[in-house]
Amino acid sequence: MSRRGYESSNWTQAVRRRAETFTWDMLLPTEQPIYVRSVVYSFGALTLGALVVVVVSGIVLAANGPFWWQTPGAGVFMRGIHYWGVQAFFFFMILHLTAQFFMGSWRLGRAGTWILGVLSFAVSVVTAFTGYLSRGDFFSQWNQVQSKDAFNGAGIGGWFDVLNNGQIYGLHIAVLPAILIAMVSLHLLLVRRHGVVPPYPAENERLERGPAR
Amino acid sequence: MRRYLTDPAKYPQTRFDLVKEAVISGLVVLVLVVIASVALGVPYVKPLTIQQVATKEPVLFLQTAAHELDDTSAIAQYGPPYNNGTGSLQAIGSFHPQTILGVTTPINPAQVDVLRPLSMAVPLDPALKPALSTWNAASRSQQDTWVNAYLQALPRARVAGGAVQVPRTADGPVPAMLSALRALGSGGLMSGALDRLSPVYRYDVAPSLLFLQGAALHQMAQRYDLLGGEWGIMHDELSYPGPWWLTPYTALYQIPPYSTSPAGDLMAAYTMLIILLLLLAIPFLPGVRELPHKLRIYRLVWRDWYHSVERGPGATTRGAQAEKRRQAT
Ligand code: HEM
Repeated sequence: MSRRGYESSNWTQAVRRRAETFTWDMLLPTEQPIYVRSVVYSFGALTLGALVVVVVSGIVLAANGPFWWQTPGAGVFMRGIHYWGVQAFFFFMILHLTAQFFMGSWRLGRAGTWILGVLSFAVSVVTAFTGYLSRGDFFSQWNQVQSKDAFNGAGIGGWFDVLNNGQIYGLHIAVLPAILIAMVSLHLLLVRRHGVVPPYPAENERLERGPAR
Repeated sequence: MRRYLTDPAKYPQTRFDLVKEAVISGLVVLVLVVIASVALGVPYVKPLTIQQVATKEPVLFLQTAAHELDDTSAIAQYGPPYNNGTGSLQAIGSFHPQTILGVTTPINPAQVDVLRPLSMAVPLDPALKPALSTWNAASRSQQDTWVNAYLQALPRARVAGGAVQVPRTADGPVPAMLSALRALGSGGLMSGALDRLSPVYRYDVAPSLLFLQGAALHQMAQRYDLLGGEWGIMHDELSYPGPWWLTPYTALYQIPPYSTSPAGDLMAAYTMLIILLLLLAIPFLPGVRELPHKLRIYRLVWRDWYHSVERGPGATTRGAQAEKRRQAT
């Protein structure tokens, strides 16, 4: 067996080789192409900032439990941070998503980045929804009884049981955030790996170089 | 043939501090969020309890319980995952994914909501025992006749000082049973008697919520404009921003066929799935993936770059610089 064949059939080595391509300079660059100059580029970072606020405040909420966040005082304040963090998260994520669409940022081998972004968005919506159900007030009750028909009708209610606070809370504080954080990390790794997507060719470039995708 | 630039590394570079960017964005968000929570607070409306319904809406409580006892409530007829009914089974033709996972949370409302709580209450109220024995010994049609007679008399009931006086009629043990159930409810013991699908972890609140889900919760929801036709949970949160990111989904419920079909939920769910798949597929969809190029909004984002490459004072130098880098590889 050739050395090459041996290497490519060995997944542990493949993982190692892949890991070696992630250098510190790639992850934390000290330079960027000059076209990276717009507020649009901060939307992703602001989304990430909001995610950090949401995760940290969520950890504090989970550590203290439902009675704490329903009792006026520090608990309700922390719930406020979590709630407005989520509002900011979605606000910046929608701006980010829209901007990336208009920049055609999936070009030149970046489809994976786009796909992970869309999946992160979908998981975020489900995570936020389980959060609404976990608040433990009238709105939670109302959303539980209303949405059960939707989940039942769609065929997943037999597993995703919105009336089961234990399951929904577990999904909200552990399972879904773990999936979301993994996806966002991969999203960011891909962004760094490919570098920021170059602009569509300029007018004079396009004439010389043919149509762009 | 000359190729256009594809590699970010071949463009002229400027200095950049990612750590600084990250810290600044994090702080900006944190400041905004703290200001919002201090200035605006956070929504909370006390939950609805069975105790409230039993004390404040006694007739509604008795009516709900009578329907549960008679298996004529919405939940008794619902279908999967609670039972094998068809009342809330959504289907498009012969497509009904609701049945795939089957009955995973079996709930027999007559047992769970009425008979079992009552048998638990017998030690507190020994007079209940004969009423329950009469009920259990009766035939199904006899039970139906009793409950129907009771339900017909109920609207003429007199409510005074917390007591409900239902006109006398041929309703057998039903009044005794249901007023004992209401006593359990107004005493605050009922949800504890209902939510015991598992003996220790009482996290599954299906029985108590399903008891409340009909008229009781709807009356309260109406007070807050939360019904589906009123954009449901979009109106959420009093004056707070609700989950506005669900707008595309809740919008579906405002238009036919979603708003009119009994399978509206099923259609809306699969419509959203298709939209998600389309979003995922944008990079591969001819026509759609070229859209941003045609719309030219990207020229605003990269305004400075195009300016410098196409006509600005630095055009020649920057364009030439980029070109040199490109040729160097
Ligand atoms: C959990 C939410 C998300 C976070 C935290 C996040 C974060 C980021 C960050 C920090 C960047 C690099 C900086 C920038 O260009 O803004 C980025 C790039 C990108 N994001 Fe996201 N993102 C999220 C969701 C999404 C969504 C929903 C989409 C699209 C549907 C998306 C598509 C992209 C694309 C295509 C790029 C690459 C841009 C390029 O190569 O120039 N992201 N993301």
